[in-house]
Amino acid sequence: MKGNSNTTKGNSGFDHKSVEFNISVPPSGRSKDEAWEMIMQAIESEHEKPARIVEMRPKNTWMLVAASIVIVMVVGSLLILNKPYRFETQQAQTMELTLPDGSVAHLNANSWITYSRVYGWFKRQVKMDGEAYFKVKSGKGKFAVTDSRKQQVVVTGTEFNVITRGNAFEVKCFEGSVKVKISGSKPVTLQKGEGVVKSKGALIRPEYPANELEKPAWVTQEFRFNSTPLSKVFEQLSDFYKIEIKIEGIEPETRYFTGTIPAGTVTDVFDVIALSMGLKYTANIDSTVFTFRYGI
Amino acid sequence: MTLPKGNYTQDELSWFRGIFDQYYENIRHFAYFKTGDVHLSDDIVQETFIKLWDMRGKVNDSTVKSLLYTIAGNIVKNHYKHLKVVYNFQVSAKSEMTTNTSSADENIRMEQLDGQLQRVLAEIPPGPREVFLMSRIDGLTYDEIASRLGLSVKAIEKRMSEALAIFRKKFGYKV
Repeated sequence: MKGNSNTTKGNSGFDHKSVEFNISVPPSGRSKDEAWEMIMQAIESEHEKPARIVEMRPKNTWMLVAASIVIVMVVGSLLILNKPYRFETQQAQTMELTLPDGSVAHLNANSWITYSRVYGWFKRQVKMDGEAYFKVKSGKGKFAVTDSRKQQVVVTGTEFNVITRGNAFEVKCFEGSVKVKISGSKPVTLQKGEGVVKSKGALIRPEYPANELEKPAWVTQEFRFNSTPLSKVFEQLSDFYKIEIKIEGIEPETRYFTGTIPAGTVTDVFDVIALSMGLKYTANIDSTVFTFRYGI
Repeated sequence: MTLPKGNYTQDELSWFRGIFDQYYENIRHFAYFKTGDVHLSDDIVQETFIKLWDMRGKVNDSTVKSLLYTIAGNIVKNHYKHLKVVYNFQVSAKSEMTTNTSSADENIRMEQLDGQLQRVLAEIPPGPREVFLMSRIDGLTYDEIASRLGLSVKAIEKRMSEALAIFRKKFGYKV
Protein backbone atom coordinates (compact mmCIF):
# COMPACT_ATOMS: atom_id res chain seq x y z
CA MET A 1 0.00 0.00 0.00
CA LYS A 2 2.67 2.39 0.97
CA GLY A 3 4.39 1.76 -2.32
CA ASN A 4 1.40 3.17 -4.09
CA SER A 5 1.29 6.34 -2.12
CA ASN A 6 2.86 8.40 -4.83
CA THR A 7 0.04 7.74 -7.22
CA THR A 8 -1.71 10.93 -8.06
CA LYS A 9 -5.07 11.64 -9.52
CA GLY A 10 -7.06 14.70 -10.52
CA ASN A 11 -6.42 17.96 -8.83
CA SER A 12 -5.11 16.62 -5.55
CA GLY A 13 -1.55 16.92 -6.41
CA PHE A 14 0.11 16.35 -3.04
CA ASP A 15 1.47 13.31 -1.35
CA HIS A 16 -1.39 11.03 -0.27
CA LYS A 17 0.82 9.19 2.09
CA SER A 18 0.92 12.24 4.30
CA VAL A 19 -2.85 12.47 4.26
CA GLU A 20 -3.13 8.86 5.31
CA PHE A 21 -0.88 9.26 8.31
CA ASN A 22 -2.03 12.63 9.40
CA ILE A 23 -5.65 11.90 10.16
CA SER A 24 -6.07 11.74 13.90
CA VAL A 25 -8.67 11.82 16.62
CA PRO A 26 -9.26 15.32 18.01
CA PRO A 27 -7.67 15.74 21.42
CA SER A 28 -9.73 14.87 24.40
CA GLY A 29 -11.35 17.57 26.50
CA ARG A 30 -9.32 16.32 29.42
CA SER A 31 -5.84 15.07 29.98
CA LYS A 32 -5.14 11.46 30.74
CA ASP A 33 -4.38 12.31 34.36
CA GLU A 34 -7.61 14.23 34.66
CA ALA A 35 -9.41 11.25 33.22
CA TRP A 36 -7.77 8.98 35.78
CA GLU A 37 -8.66 11.35 38.59
CA MET A 38 -12.25 11.45 37.44
CA ILE A 39 -12.43 7.68 37.40
CA MET A 40 -11.07 7.53 40.94
CA GLN A 41 -13.65 10.07 42.07
CA ALA A 42 -16.41 8.18 40.34
CA ILE A 43 -15.33 4.98 42.08
CA GLU A 44 -15.17 6.87 45.36
CA SER A 45 -18.67 8.30 45.03
CA GLU A 46 -19.91 4.87 43.99
CA HIS A 47 -18.87 3.65 47.44
CA GLU A 48 -20.46 6.59 49.18
CA LYS A 49 -23.79 5.69 47.71
CA PRO A 50 -25.94 3.66 50.04
CA ALA A 51 -25.62 -0.03 49.45
CA ARG A 52 -27.73 -0.96 46.51
CA ILE A 53 -30.85 -2.65 47.73
CA VAL A 54 -31.50 -5.71 45.69
CA GLU A 55 -35.17 -6.42 45.78
CA MET A 56 -35.75 -10.10 46.22
CA ARG A 57 -39.41 -9.74 45.44
CA PRO A 58 -40.37 -12.58 43.18
CA LYS A 59 -42.64 -12.01 40.22
CA ASN A 60 -45.62 -13.92 41.53
CA THR A 61 -45.88 -11.89 44.72
CA TRP A 62 -49.64 -12.14 44.85
CA MET A 63 -49.55 -15.88 44.55
CA LEU A 64 -47.14 -16.05 47.49
CA VAL A 65 -49.21 -13.62 49.52
CA ALA A 66 -52.33 -15.67 48.82
CA ALA A 67 -50.49 -18.88 49.65
CA SER A 68 -49.23 -17.53 52.95
CA ILE A 69 -52.68 -16.29 53.89
CA VAL A 70 -54.09 -19.73 53.17
CA ILE A 71 -51.34 -21.35 55.22
CA VAL A 72 -51.92 -18.97 58.12
CA MET A 73 -55.66 -19.64 57.96
CA VAL A 74 -55.24 -23.41 57.81
CA VAL A 75 -52.73 -23.48 60.67
CA GLY A 76 -54.83 -21.01 62.64
CA SER A 77 -58.04 -22.98 62.18
CA LEU A 78 -56.25 -26.20 63.10
CA LEU A 79 -55.01 -24.55 66.28
CA ILE A 80 -58.48 -23.22 67.03
CA LEU A 81 -60.15 -26.56 66.24
CA ASN A 82 -57.59 -28.35 68.33
CA LYS A 83 -58.48 -26.35 71.42
CA PRO A 84 -61.41 -28.12 73.02
CA TYR A 85 -64.38 -26.58 74.74
CA ARG A 86 -64.12 -26.99 78.50
CA PHE A 87 -66.73 -26.56 81.19
CA GLU A 88 -66.07 -26.80 84.86
CA THR A 89 -68.12 -26.64 88.02
CA GLN A 90 -67.06 -25.50 91.47
CA GLN A 91 -68.15 -26.65 94.90
CA ALA A 92 -71.96 -26.82 95.26
CA GLN A 93 -72.50 -25.88 91.65
CA THR A 94 -74.16 -27.89 88.93
CA MET A 95 -74.33 -27.20 85.26
CA GLU A 96 -76.45 -28.40 82.42
CA LEU A 97 -74.99 -28.12 78.97
CA THR A 98 -76.19 -29.14 75.58
CA LEU A 99 -73.62 -30.68 73.26
CA PRO A 100 -73.58 -29.77 69.55
CA ASP A 101 -75.59 -32.87 68.59
CA GLY A 102 -78.35 -32.10 71.09
CA SER A 103 -77.19 -34.54 73.75
CA VAL A 104 -77.29 -33.12 77.24
CA ALA A 105 -74.64 -33.40 79.89
CA HIS A 106 -75.27 -32.48 83.53
CA LEU A 107 -72.22 -31.70 85.53
CA ASN A 108 -72.28 -32.21 89.25
CA ALA A 109 -70.11 -30.14 91.61
CA ASN A 110 -66.32 -30.18 91.24
CA SER A 111 -66.39 -31.68 87.80
CA TRP A 112 -65.23 -30.80 84.37
CA ILE A 113 -65.99 -31.87 80.85
CA THR A 114 -64.25 -31.13 77.59
CA TYR A 115 -65.17 -31.83 74.02
CA SER A 116 -63.52 -31.05 70.74
CA ARG A 117 -64.58 -28.28 68.39
CA VAL A 118 -65.07 -30.95 65.79
CA TYR A 119 -67.39 -32.90 68.12
CA GLY A 120 -69.88 -34.73 65.96
CA TRP A 121 -67.89 -34.40 62.73
CA PHE A 122 -66.53 -37.92 62.89
CA LYS A 123 -67.29 -39.13 66.36
CA ARG A 124 -68.95 -37.90 69.49
CA GLN A 125 -66.45 -37.97 72.24
CA VAL A 126 -66.27 -36.16 75.55
CA LYS A 127 -63.71 -36.30 78.27
CA MET A 128 -64.61 -35.74 81.88
CA ASP A 129 -63.72 -35.96 85.51
CA GLY A 130 -65.96 -35.81 88.51
CA GLU A 131 -69.61 -36.70 88.09
CA ALA A 132 -71.70 -36.25 84.99
CA TYR A 133 -75.09 -37.44 83.89
CA PHE A 134 -75.59 -37.84 80.15
CA LYS A 135 -78.76 -37.91 78.10
CA VAL A 136 -77.48 -39.05 74.74
CA LYS A 137 -79.43 -38.33 71.59
CA SER A 138 -79.34 -41.11 69.07
CA GLY A 139 -77.50 -40.00 66.01
CA LYS A 140 -74.50 -40.37 63.81
CA GLY A 141 -71.51 -42.01 65.43
CA LYS A 142 -71.17 -43.72 68.74
CA PHE A 143 -71.16 -41.55 71.80
CA ALA A 144 -68.15 -42.18 73.98
CA VAL A 145 -67.01 -40.83 77.31
CA THR A 146 -63.46 -41.11 78.51
CA ASP A 147 -62.35 -40.09 81.91
CA SER A 148 -59.01 -38.58 82.65
CA ARG A 149 -57.59 -42.06 83.21
CA LYS A 150 -58.84 -43.36 79.84
CA GLN A 151 -61.53 -45.61 81.26
CA GLN A 152 -64.03 -45.65 78.50
CA VAL A 153 -67.75 -45.68 78.41
CA VAL A 154 -69.18 -46.40 74.98
CA VAL A 155 -72.84 -45.75 74.71
CA THR A 156 -75.52 -46.76 72.30
CA GLY A 157 -77.90 -43.93 72.94
CA THR A 158 -79.26 -43.60 76.47
CA GLU A 159 -79.10 -41.96 79.85
CA PHE A 160 -76.38 -42.78 82.27
CA ASN A 161 -74.41 -41.34 85.11
CA VAL A 162 -70.66 -41.48 85.42
CA ILE A 163 -68.72 -40.84 88.60
CA THR A 164 -64.98 -40.80 88.30
CA ARG A 165 -63.11 -39.15 91.11
CA GLY A 166 -59.68 -40.24 92.12
CA ASN A 167 -59.81 -43.99 92.20
CA ALA A 168 -63.58 -44.16 92.33
CA PHE A 169 -65.29 -45.14 89.13
CA GLU A 170 -68.96 -45.86 88.83
CA VAL A 171 -71.40 -45.97 85.94
CA LYS A 172 -75.13 -46.30 86.32
CA CYS A 173 -77.49 -46.80 83.44
CA PHE A 174 -80.94 -45.23 83.57
CA GLU A 175 -82.19 -45.72 80.02
CA GLY A 176 -81.14 -47.95 77.13
CA SER A 177 -77.81 -49.69 77.39
CA VAL A 178 -74.26 -48.67 78.14
CA LYS A 179 -71.04 -50.48 77.43
CA VAL A 180 -68.25 -49.86 79.94
CA LYS A 181 -64.63 -50.64 79.23
CA ILE A 182 -61.71 -50.09 81.50
CA SER A 183 -58.16 -51.02 80.72
CA GLY A 184 -57.28 -54.52 81.87
CA SER A 185 -60.87 -55.72 82.13
CA LYS A 186 -63.53 -57.18 79.87
CA PRO A 187 -66.17 -54.73 78.68
CA VAL A 188 -69.44 -54.83 80.59
CA THR A 189 -72.81 -53.99 79.10
CA LEU A 190 -75.34 -52.40 81.39
CA GLN A 191 -79.09 -52.35 80.91
CA LYS A 192 -81.55 -49.97 82.48
CA GLY A 193 -81.28 -50.06 86.25
CA GLU A 194 -77.86 -51.64 86.28
CA GLY A 195 -74.61 -50.19 87.40
CA VAL A 196 -70.99 -51.04 87.69
CA VAL A 197 -68.19 -49.92 89.97
CA LYS A 198 -64.50 -50.44 89.78
CA SER A 199 -63.05 -52.44 92.61
CA LYS A 200 -59.41 -53.49 92.72
CA GLY A 201 -58.93 -52.90 89.01
CA ALA A 202 -62.00 -54.95 87.98
CA LEU A 203 -65.58 -54.03 87.19
CA ILE A 204 -68.16 -55.46 89.54
CA ARG A 205 -71.92 -55.07 89.60
CA PRO A 206 -73.20 -54.13 93.01
CA GLU A 207 -76.77 -54.75 94.11
CA TYR A 208 -78.38 -51.36 94.21
CA PRO A 209 -81.25 -50.54 96.55
CA ALA A 210 -84.27 -49.42 94.59
CA ASN A 211 -84.03 -45.74 95.53
CA GLU A 212 -80.45 -45.51 94.26
CA LEU A 213 -81.65 -46.29 90.81
CA GLU A 214 -83.68 -43.13 90.79
CA LYS A 215 -82.19 -40.40 88.67
CA PRO A 216 -79.86 -38.37 90.87
CA ALA A 217 -81.53 -35.43 92.55
CA TRP A 218 -78.85 -33.06 91.33
CA VAL A 219 -79.89 -33.91 87.79
CA THR A 220 -83.64 -33.85 88.17
CA GLN A 221 -83.47 -31.02 90.68
CA GLU A 222 -86.06 -32.79 92.79
CA PHE A 223 -86.09 -35.37 95.52
CA ARG A 224 -88.35 -38.34 95.11
CA PHE A 225 -89.08 -40.33 98.21
CA ASN A 226 -91.38 -43.30 98.32
CA SER A 227 -91.85 -44.70 101.84
CA THR A 228 -88.25 -43.86 102.47
CA PRO A 229 -87.03 -44.02 106.06
CA LEU A 230 -86.16 -40.59 107.40
CA SER A 231 -82.67 -41.80 108.09
CA LYS A 232 -82.19 -42.34 104.35
CA VAL A 233 -83.88 -39.03 103.54
CA PHE A 234 -81.55 -37.12 105.84
CA GLU A 235 -78.57 -39.05 104.50
CA GLN A 236 -79.40 -38.06 100.96
CA LEU A 237 -80.12 -34.44 101.83
CA SER A 238 -76.99 -33.96 103.88
CA ASP A 239 -75.06 -35.51 101.07
CA PHE A 240 -76.70 -33.28 98.48
CA TYR A 241 -76.43 -30.02 100.38
CA LYS A 242 -73.12 -30.87 102.04
CA ILE A 243 -74.47 -30.13 105.47
CA GLU A 244 -74.68 -32.01 108.73
CA ILE A 245 -78.06 -33.15 110.09
CA LYS A 246 -78.47 -33.93 113.76
CA ILE A 247 -81.50 -35.59 115.30
CA GLU A 248 -82.81 -35.12 118.78
CA GLY A 249 -85.42 -37.54 120.19
CA ILE A 250 -86.45 -39.02 116.88
CA GLU A 251 -85.96 -42.56 115.65
CA PRO A 252 -85.56 -41.82 111.96
CA GLU A 253 -85.52 -45.47 110.92
CA THR A 254 -89.13 -45.82 112.03
CA ARG A 255 -90.52 -42.76 110.23
CA TYR A 256 -91.15 -42.95 106.51
CA PHE A 257 -91.48 -40.14 104.06
CA THR A 258 -93.22 -40.18 100.71
CA GLY A 259 -93.28 -37.28 98.29
CA THR A 260 -91.44 -35.24 95.73
CA ILE A 261 -89.66 -32.08 96.79
CA PRO A 262 -88.10 -29.61 94.33
CA ALA A 263 -84.41 -29.23 95.09
CA GLY A 264 -84.58 -25.59 96.07
CA THR A 265 -82.75 -24.16 99.02
CA VAL A 266 -82.03 -26.32 102.03
CA THR A 267 -84.66 -24.56 104.13
CA ASP A 268 -87.30 -24.96 101.42
CA VAL A 269 -86.77 -28.69 101.42
CA PHE A 270 -86.51 -28.93 105.22
CA ASP A 271 -89.67 -26.86 105.64
CA VAL A 272 -91.56 -29.40 103.55
CA ILE A 273 -90.18 -32.36 105.50
CA ALA A 274 -90.58 -30.75 108.90
CA LEU A 275 -94.16 -29.70 108.29
CA SER A 276 -95.25 -33.00 106.84
CA MET A 277 -93.51 -35.07 109.51
CA GLY A 278 -94.49 -32.90 112.49
CA LEU A 279 -90.92 -31.86 113.21
CA LYS A 280 -89.06 -28.62 113.70
CA TYR A 281 -85.47 -27.79 113.00
CA THR A 282 -82.88 -25.26 113.95
CA ALA A 283 -79.76 -24.25 112.11
CA ASN A 284 -76.44 -23.20 113.54
CA ILE A 285 -75.09 -19.77 112.84
CA ASP A 286 -73.46 -20.49 109.49
CA SER A 287 -76.14 -22.96 108.32
CA THR A 288 -73.86 -25.98 108.20
CA VAL A 289 -75.52 -28.00 110.95
CA PHE A 290 -79.26 -28.56 111.18
CA THR A 291 -80.92 -30.15 114.17
CA PHE A 292 -84.32 -31.84 113.94
CA ARG A 293 -86.56 -32.52 116.89
CA TYR A 294 -90.21 -33.06 117.59
CA GLY A 295 -92.35 -30.03 117.74
CA ILE A 296 -94.31 -27.70 115.60
CA MET B 1 -4.03 11.31 43.73
CA THR B 2 -7.43 10.49 45.07
CA LEU B 3 -7.59 7.04 46.56
CA PRO B 4 -11.04 5.59 46.52
CA LYS B 5 -12.53 4.11 49.65
CA GLY B 6 -14.03 0.69 49.71
CA ASN B 7 -12.75 -2.82 49.55
CA TYR B 8 -9.76 -3.20 47.31
CA THR B 9 -6.13 -4.08 47.62
CA GLN B 10 -3.14 -2.01 46.58
CA ASP B 11 -2.42 -4.69 43.99
CA GLU B 12 -5.80 -4.17 42.45
CA LEU B 13 -5.29 -0.44 42.23
CA SER B 14 -1.87 -0.70 40.60
CA TRP B 15 -3.18 -3.37 38.22
CA PHE B 16 -6.01 -1.02 37.32
CA ARG B 17 -3.62 1.89 36.82
CA GLY B 18 -1.54 -0.28 34.49
CA ILE B 19 -4.54 -1.20 32.39
CA PHE B 20 -5.61 2.44 32.29
CA ASP B 21 -2.19 3.66 31.18
CA GLN B 22 -1.97 1.08 28.50
CA TYR B 23 -5.43 1.31 26.98
CA TYR B 24 -6.80 4.74 27.79
CA GLU B 25 -5.94 6.30 24.45
CA ASN B 26 -6.95 3.26 22.46
CA ILE B 27 -10.33 3.02 24.08
CA ARG B 28 -10.89 6.74 23.68
CA HIS B 29 -10.08 6.40 20.00
CA PHE B 30 -12.25 3.34 19.68
CA ALA B 31 -15.16 5.22 21.23
CA TYR B 32 -14.50 8.06 18.87
CA PHE B 33 -14.38 5.69 15.88
CA LYS B 34 -17.75 4.46 16.92
CA THR B 35 -19.38 7.75 17.86
CA GLY B 36 -17.51 10.51 16.12
CA ASP B 37 -17.99 12.65 19.21
CA VAL B 38 -14.99 13.68 21.33
CA HIS B 39 -16.92 14.58 24.46
CA LEU B 40 -19.06 11.50 24.32
CA SER B 41 -15.89 9.46 23.81
CA ASP B 42 -14.43 10.93 26.98
CA ASP B 43 -17.53 9.88 28.89
CA ILE B 44 -17.49 6.44 27.35
CA VAL B 45 -13.85 5.88 28.35
CA GLN B 46 -14.75 7.00 31.84
CA GLU B 47 -17.67 4.61 32.09
CA THR B 48 -15.72 1.75 30.54
CA PHE B 49 -12.96 1.94 33.14
CA ILE B 50 -15.43 2.34 36.01
CA LYS B 51 -17.21 -0.79 34.83
CA LEU B 52 -13.89 -2.60 34.62
CA TRP B 53 -13.12 -1.54 38.20
CA ASP B 54 -16.48 -2.84 39.38
CA MET B 55 -15.75 -6.25 37.89
CA ARG B 56 -12.06 -6.30 38.86
CA GLY B 57 -12.42 -9.45 40.93
CA LYS B 58 -13.81 -11.41 38.00
CA VAL B 59 -11.48 -10.25 35.27
CA ASN B 60 -8.96 -12.54 33.72
CA ASP B 61 -5.78 -10.71 32.67
CA SER B 62 -5.68 -12.41 29.29
CA THR B 63 -9.15 -11.18 28.40
CA VAL B 64 -9.03 -7.70 29.89
CA LYS B 65 -8.03 -6.09 26.59
CA SER B 66 -10.93 -7.40 24.56
CA LEU B 67 -13.19 -6.92 27.58
CA LEU B 68 -12.46 -3.18 27.52
CA TYR B 69 -13.39 -2.99 23.85
CA THR B 70 -16.51 -5.03 24.46
CA ILE B 71 -17.59 -2.80 27.35
CA ALA B 72 -16.93 0.36 25.36
CA GLY B 73 -18.75 -1.06 22.33
CA ASN B 74 -21.77 -1.95 24.42
CA ILE B 75 -21.89 1.45 26.08
CA VAL B 76 -21.90 3.02 22.64
CA LYS B 77 -24.60 0.64 21.47
CA ASN B 78 -26.84 1.46 24.42
CA HIS B 79 -26.16 5.14 24.17
CA TYR B 80 -25.89 6.08 20.63
CA LYS B 81 -26.87 3.45 18.15
CA HIS B 82 -29.79 5.34 16.67
CA LEU B 83 -27.73 8.32 15.58
CA LYS B 84 -25.77 8.66 12.41
CA VAL B 85 -22.08 9.04 13.14
CA VAL B 86 -20.53 12.28 11.98
CA TYR B 87 -16.78 12.53 11.87
CA ASN B 88 -14.66 15.48 12.60
CA PHE B 89 -11.21 14.18 12.01
CA GLN B 90 -8.45 16.63 12.16
CA VAL B 91 -6.30 16.48 9.20
CA SER B 92 -3.04 17.56 10.69
CA ALA B 93 -1.60 17.77 7.22
CA LYS B 94 -3.66 20.92 6.95
CA SER B 95 -1.70 22.84 9.52
CA GLU B 96 1.55 21.40 8.28
CA MET B 97 0.71 22.58 4.84
CA THR B 98 -0.26 26.08 5.96
CA THR B 99 2.99 26.49 7.79
CA ASN B 100 5.07 24.89 5.07
CA THR B 101 3.54 26.57 2.09
CA SER B 102 2.09 29.93 1.31
CA SER B 103 -0.12 28.67 -1.45
CA ALA B 104 -3.76 29.64 -0.98
CA ASP B 105 -4.59 27.04 -3.54
CA GLU B 106 -3.12 24.27 -1.46
CA ASN B 107 -5.08 25.45 1.53
CA ILE B 108 -8.29 25.18 -0.37
CA ARG B 109 -7.33 21.79 -1.68
CA MET B 110 -6.60 20.60 1.88
CA GLU B 111 -9.96 21.78 3.09
CA GLN B 112 -11.62 20.00 0.23
CA LEU B 113 -9.74 16.83 1.04
CA ASP B 114 -10.61 17.14 4.70
CA GLY B 115 -14.34 17.33 3.96
CA GLN B 116 -14.07 14.55 1.42
CA LEU B 117 -12.21 12.28 3.82
CA GLN B 118 -14.82 12.74 6.49
CA ARG B 119 -17.67 12.05 4.10
CA VAL B 120 -16.01 8.87 2.95
CA LEU B 121 -15.35 7.71 6.51
CA ALA B 122 -18.98 8.26 7.34
CA GLU B 123 -19.95 6.11 4.38
CA ILE B 124 -17.90 3.13 5.47
CA PRO B 125 -19.97 0.65 7.50
CA PRO B 126 -19.16 0.78 11.24
CA GLY B 127 -17.35 -2.57 11.44
CA PRO B 128 -14.80 -1.93 8.68
CA ARG B 129 -14.48 1.70 9.72
CA GLU B 130 -13.41 0.82 13.27
CA VAL B 131 -10.89 -1.66 12.00
CA PHE B 132 -9.55 0.76 9.43
CA LEU B 133 -9.18 3.57 11.96
CA MET B 134 -7.66 1.32 14.60
CA SER B 135 -5.11 0.31 12.07
CA ARG B 136 -4.41 3.78 10.68
CA ILE B 137 -4.69 5.97 13.75
CA ASP B 138 -3.67 3.67 16.58
CA GLY B 139 -1.19 1.87 14.36
CA LEU B 140 -2.32 -1.51 15.56
CA THR B 141 -1.46 -4.68 13.67
CA TYR B 142 -4.21 -6.93 12.34
CA ASP B 143 -3.32 -9.48 15.03
CA GLU B 144 -3.66 -6.86 17.69
CA ILE B 145 -6.99 -5.57 16.37
CA ALA B 146 -8.27 -9.13 16.10
CA SER B 147 -7.43 -9.88 19.72
CA ARG B 148 -8.87 -6.60 21.00
CA LEU B 149 -12.16 -6.97 19.19
CA GLY B 150 -12.32 -10.69 19.81
CA LEU B 151 -12.41 -11.41 16.10
CA SER B 152 -10.28 -13.58 13.84
CA VAL B 153 -7.44 -12.08 11.82
CA LYS B 154 -9.27 -13.17 8.68
CA ALA B 155 -12.26 -11.08 9.68
CA ILE B 156 -10.03 -8.08 10.28
CA GLU B 157 -8.44 -8.50 6.86
CA LYS B 158 -11.85 -8.70 5.28
CA ARG B 159 -13.03 -5.53 6.98
CA MET B 160 -9.85 -3.71 6.08
CA SER B 161 -10.20 -4.57 2.43
CA GLU B 162 -13.85 -3.50 2.55
CA ALA B 163 -12.88 -0.10 3.97
CA LEU B 164 -10.03 0.30 1.51
CA ALA B 165 -12.26 -0.61 -1.40
CA ILE B 166 -14.60 2.24 -0.49
CA PHE B 167 -11.66 4.64 -0.28
CA ARG B 168 -10.42 3.49 -3.60
CA LYS B 169 -13.80 3.96 -5.15
CA LYS B 170 -14.30 7.44 -3.69
CA PHE B 171 -10.86 8.82 -4.14
CA GLY B 172 -9.99 6.77 -7.15
CA TYR B 173 -6.70 5.78 -5.66
CA LYS B 174 -5.34 3.57 -2.95
CA VAL B 175 -4.64 4.93 0.48
